[in-house]
Amino acid sequence: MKKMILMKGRLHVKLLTFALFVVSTVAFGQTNKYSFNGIVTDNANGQPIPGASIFIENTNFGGVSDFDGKYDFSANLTSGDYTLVVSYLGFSTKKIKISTTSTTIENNVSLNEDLLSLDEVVVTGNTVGVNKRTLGNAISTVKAEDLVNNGATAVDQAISGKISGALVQQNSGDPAGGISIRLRGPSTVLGNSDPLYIVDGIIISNSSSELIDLGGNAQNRLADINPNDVERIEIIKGAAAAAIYGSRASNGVVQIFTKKGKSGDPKFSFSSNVRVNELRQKIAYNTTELAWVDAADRNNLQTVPVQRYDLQDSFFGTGFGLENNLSVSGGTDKTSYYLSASQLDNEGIIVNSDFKRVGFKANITQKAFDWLTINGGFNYVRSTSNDIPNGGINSAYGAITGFLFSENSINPNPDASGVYPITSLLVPRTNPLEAVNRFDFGQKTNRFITSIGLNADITEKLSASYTLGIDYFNQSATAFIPINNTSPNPNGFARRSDINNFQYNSDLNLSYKTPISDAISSTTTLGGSWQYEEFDRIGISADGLPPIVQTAETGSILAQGESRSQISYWGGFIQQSFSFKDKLYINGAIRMDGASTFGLDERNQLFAKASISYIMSDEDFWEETFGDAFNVFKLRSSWGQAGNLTALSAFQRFTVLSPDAINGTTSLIPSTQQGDLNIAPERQDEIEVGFDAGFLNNRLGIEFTYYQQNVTDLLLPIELSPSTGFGSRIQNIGNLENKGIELLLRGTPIKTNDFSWDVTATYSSNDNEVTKVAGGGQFALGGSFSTNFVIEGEPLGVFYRQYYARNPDGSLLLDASGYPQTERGNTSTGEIGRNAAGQPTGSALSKVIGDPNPDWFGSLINEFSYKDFGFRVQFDAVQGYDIFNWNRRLMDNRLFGGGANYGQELAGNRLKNLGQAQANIFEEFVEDASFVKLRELAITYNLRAPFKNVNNIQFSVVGRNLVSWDSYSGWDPEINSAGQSNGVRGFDFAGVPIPRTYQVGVNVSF
Amino acid sequence: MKNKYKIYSTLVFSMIVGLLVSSCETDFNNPNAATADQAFSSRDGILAVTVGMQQLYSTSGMRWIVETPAITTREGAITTTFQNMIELEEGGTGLPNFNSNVQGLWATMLRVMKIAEDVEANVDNVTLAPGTRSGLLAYSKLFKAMAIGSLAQNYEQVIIQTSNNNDAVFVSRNEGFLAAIALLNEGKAALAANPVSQEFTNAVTLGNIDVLNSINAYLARYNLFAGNFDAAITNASSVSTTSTSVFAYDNINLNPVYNRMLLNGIANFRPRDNFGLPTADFSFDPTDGRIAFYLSTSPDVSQNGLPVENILGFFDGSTESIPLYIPDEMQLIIAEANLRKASPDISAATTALNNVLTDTDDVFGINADVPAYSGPATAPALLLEIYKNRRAELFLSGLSLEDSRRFNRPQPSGNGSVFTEERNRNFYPYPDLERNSNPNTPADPSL
Repeated sequence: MKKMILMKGRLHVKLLTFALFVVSTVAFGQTNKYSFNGIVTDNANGQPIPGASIFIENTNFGGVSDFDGKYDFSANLTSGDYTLVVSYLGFSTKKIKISTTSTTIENNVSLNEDLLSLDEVVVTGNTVGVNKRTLGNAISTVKAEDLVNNGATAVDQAISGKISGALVQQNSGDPAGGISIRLRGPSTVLGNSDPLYIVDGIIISNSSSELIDLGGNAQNRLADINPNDVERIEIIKGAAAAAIYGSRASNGVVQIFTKKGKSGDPKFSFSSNVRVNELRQKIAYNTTELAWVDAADRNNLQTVPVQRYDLQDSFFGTGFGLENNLSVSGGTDKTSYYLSASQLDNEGIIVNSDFKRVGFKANITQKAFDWLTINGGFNYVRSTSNDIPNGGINSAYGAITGFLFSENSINPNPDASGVYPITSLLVPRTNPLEAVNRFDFGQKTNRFITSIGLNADITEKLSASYTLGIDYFNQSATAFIPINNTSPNPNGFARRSDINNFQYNSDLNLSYKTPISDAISSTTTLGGSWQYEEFDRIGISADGLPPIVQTAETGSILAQGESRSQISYWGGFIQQSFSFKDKLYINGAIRMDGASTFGLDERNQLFAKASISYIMSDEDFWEETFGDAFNVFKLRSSWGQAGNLTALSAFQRFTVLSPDAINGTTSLIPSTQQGDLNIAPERQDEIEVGFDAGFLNNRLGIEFTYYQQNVTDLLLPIELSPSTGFGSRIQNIGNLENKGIELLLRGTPIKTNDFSWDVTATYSSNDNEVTKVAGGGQFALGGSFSTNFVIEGEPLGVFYRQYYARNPDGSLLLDASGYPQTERGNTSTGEIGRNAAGQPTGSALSKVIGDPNPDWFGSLINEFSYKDFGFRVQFDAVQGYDIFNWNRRLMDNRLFGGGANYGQELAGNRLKNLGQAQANIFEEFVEDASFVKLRELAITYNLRAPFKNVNNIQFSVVGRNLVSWDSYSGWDPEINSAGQSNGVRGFDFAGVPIPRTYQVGVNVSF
Repeated sequence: MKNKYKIYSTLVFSMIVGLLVSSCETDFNNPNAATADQAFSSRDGILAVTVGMQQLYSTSGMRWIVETPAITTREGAITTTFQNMIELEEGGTGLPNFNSNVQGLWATMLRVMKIAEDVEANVDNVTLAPGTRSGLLAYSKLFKAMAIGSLAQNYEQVIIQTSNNNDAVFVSRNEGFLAAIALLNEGKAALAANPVSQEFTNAVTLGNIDVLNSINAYLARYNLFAGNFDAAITNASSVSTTSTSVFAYDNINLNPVYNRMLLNGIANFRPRDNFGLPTADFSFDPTDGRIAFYLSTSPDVSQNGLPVENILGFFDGSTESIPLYIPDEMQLIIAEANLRKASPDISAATTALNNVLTDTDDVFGINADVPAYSGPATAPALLLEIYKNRRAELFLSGLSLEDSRRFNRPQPSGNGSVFTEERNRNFYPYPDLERNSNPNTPADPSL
């Protein structure tokens, strides 16, 4: 491989030197100066379109329409016939034939709205921009204006509901709470199913490092990208489209393009907003001011009066936020730039939690020669957070975990000497008020994302592009619990943990585009990529701290750790596209990929793709028959393969002995996981078919896609009998399948000069099944208290636990005292056991009791504009999925006793200790989490040119997550305490609910 | 001007291409851990693996060894809501095969066996001084024997040799003890040929464990369990009463029983009053020094309402050492073996028992210091007294289930949650983990 890259390297040098030579000797003919002007308007209402691009095809001359839709530019051209191309995002591109008959050429152009964005130029999945109409796969784009003014603070949060097929799940309501995106379902079990993120050609890290234990919640590093800097996002959802990204793209690709400057005077944009975050609703709580005399005795119903406190008040509060962005862009013919500075400060609804982000971004484009453009991108971000630990999956300290275990008849306030009382009497957790007031947890990340890109038009037909992208960050986390506290670490706790993450990608692509005949043209692309990533991680924890001091070094060390990882990836591909008469497009590609993580014999993998796109509505027979009403119809289909590497860590193929030490002597202990030197990447095959249709002059557009993905060679731990000396071995032994549909509807029911109404609706359904699990056929996923399972024939991560014993009619089979009980029987056959009295007998049985994967999800967005007013409302729905409410399981139990149901027991409205009887009947706590949320509501008002030099002032009032319609008994059905875990979903244990946000903002452009 | 650009851009391209080429590393060494091949091909590696074997056995191994039978045989009572502990204390036929103690004890012992086998197999692949080689051999055999023994004390059939193909063979528990005895005798022979070197002591035992005495003590124990009473007496008599062998702990590797009973003030289980023996059948002299050694009184009751005390003994400090065996166990072995052998020797048994009862100078300070035995001089009476003394003397040492069965204490009913029963199981079921992949796994014992 090394040799091949070397050879390729030499070839490049030659080619480029040659290219330099060719270009420098090109001679130019005699030219005249022509001036072009006119107005660009919207065909539907005659309104001017500002910002439309007008250029002369096959030249570098062009301009942009101004605020009144007017354009005016001049060009040095040899006289003859040219094509004027007028385009604007969201409108169908118009081409107008012109001749240089006079020196001033005036053309007024009216554009038709393009609801299906078929003329949009996209680059994801292709190295050079291609018209969306040519693609055989669905591709979604999100525009800059959809990413801001919605109360979201991160890019992934902002795209929620905006595209079909992307399930965006916010796992925690912390101010930088982690977010998972699933494109067409999970595609791996052990790895992660997040898509590959690319910013301006740089593959960036979206890792979720849990450096300190906040209870499963971790920031995902996309939080560092400022949505205000984003110009456009393109998303491709599966292997069919992803073959050019190869072994890392089986979960799809999210490509983010940041803003670039355009030639012209500097344009300033300043935006500022303030926001308020609040808890959307409290959960019902124990308000019965009674306590049992003997809590354990079911028959003793004697009570004594007590005072009850709502401990939710001790840790939930109102958070305020402030965000400022300033950007300037502009440029000359040769140079353009975009510079921005931004600051975000957002408090969470857990008292004393916040997230702050300061960022600087620069994009510079320099035209070195006519044939060579150089881009530079530079982004520095510093993200800091104050965190409050909440969860108890691993550690038992934290605010919400303390709340769940607390007996709420205890006043949580500190005594006169400032000592907080223990509120969790049975087991040490934490007084939640103390957690928010005394615990000091935080993280800071310093990150640089830089890139250099070169685009060369070596000849008219041959172009080359090169990108070198680097992403480096250091994330540092500290945890401090002072001594003499109510947590399980009464002697104090300190932790410091750091990760240094560095990765780069170096990509060279050559593209050769040529007409073969009048009807057929061909594009050939050849590319190579080298990618490398490494991280070094270190951590130290201590207890037994001296007073005041916060560093771990000063205590007695509980744990210390260091680990390092290095992975390299390499690949090359060739892609060939043909187009026939601009109606039929065929595309095929082959890619070879390698990565250092695979076994030596599995190093290089081959992936292929093929696709077809047919614009049937451009055929004469179509246009002549029903073309007026049904004016666009495109059929598309594609097939492709990709690999998935995320399940493999750098050195997973080895059987290792972990270094340790005892009594000052070093030791080596074999890992319980045996290595497999023949390990290979997971492979995905995907096929998708679909159509795009436009009706009624494109007033109504439909996009439909059906897909089916098969993942083979799925990496799973194969369980080994302990008598092997090992516990498991990771092998390519499983299969997994996703199939589903994606539907997008766009319509403009009303459009007049003053008023317009746009509707967008999306619907996606996905059916996931783990089709093969070797060994025991099932296993529990770590981090779920053995609740989420991988089971052959079931969707990933189903809840598999004990369930109610029931009578034949389905009613609960109660014991002699009238309490429900766990079903019992033979665990190996699953046969239910009944004794002579008809009561359950045998071992407790388990079955699948819930599924955290939604049946379908979708959104409805309505946008209205009247003159300078805009109104936008977005509903998101996620339906047909379950949540395991671990919170209620604890609170209803008399051992802890904070739950509303326990309050009902005390009040005599429920059987005494029913909650405790239910505790091990897990079925009880699986709840339907289906919801519809009023996700975004925004009212904007534009004050146009109010002062000299000010183009526009926009005022906005925004609400986010205002209302949720659901039947879930917890705070919020959008939660996953296991954070960005791939398989453990729908798990609610001490997670922070997503806040309701109100925001008021102003945006000034000048 | 154009030339300058040309030079400049050529330079940039060359740099980029250079970067692309020079960084093409495709193989990285794992700096985080050693591979098995690396570890077993160096002297430092094999010594470190041996320390790891001891570390695994003395930390998580000792947790399972002590805690599991302690709950089943009522030495302790649970004070936690963890399911594994609840299941264990409820016991009976309902004890699931996936109970984490049932699995943990099984799997950890087999891991130790696998390491011991690997050390033994690779000891000749490395150049070693004779005393280091014999030390490694004897030590690996000792640990494998202890692991097999710990399985045979708790499971009806056991594995005495690991197999990478999921097809390890099961043998009866008695054959398990015999295999352990054979290993210990081989270890003893190796030490007879070459006593352990200073290098071995410095690298592995740190002087905490007297390998030969430990081998003799475990030979005595397993010969007793296997019914070889004469060999048990011989080996027990050869164990020094002044030598100690202990597992030592540090701030990272905490005493595993402390960890479960006291760490951060969280008790997963606590010791029962009267060492968990039914007060109707067994009463201790209130001045019996072993009560004060192991327990401090508490009025508390456990989760299931059983009276519990506070733990002392070897378990009240986070880095306190735990002995591999207690010297007075040898006297109790001599006493019991003399009663059980073909021609019982009541007097020898009484003498040995009295050595324990009247002990005032135990190296660990476990001194009963009570009057000598005065009950009937019959084997059944003496055996009952020996059982009681084993419980007090060897409290929380992982022997209680084996003892309860061997002394024919009342059979459990099989119904769960009968907390008055002296033990709630005879043997543990075989873990699902084993059965799922190993077709040789026998049927579970009925109880």
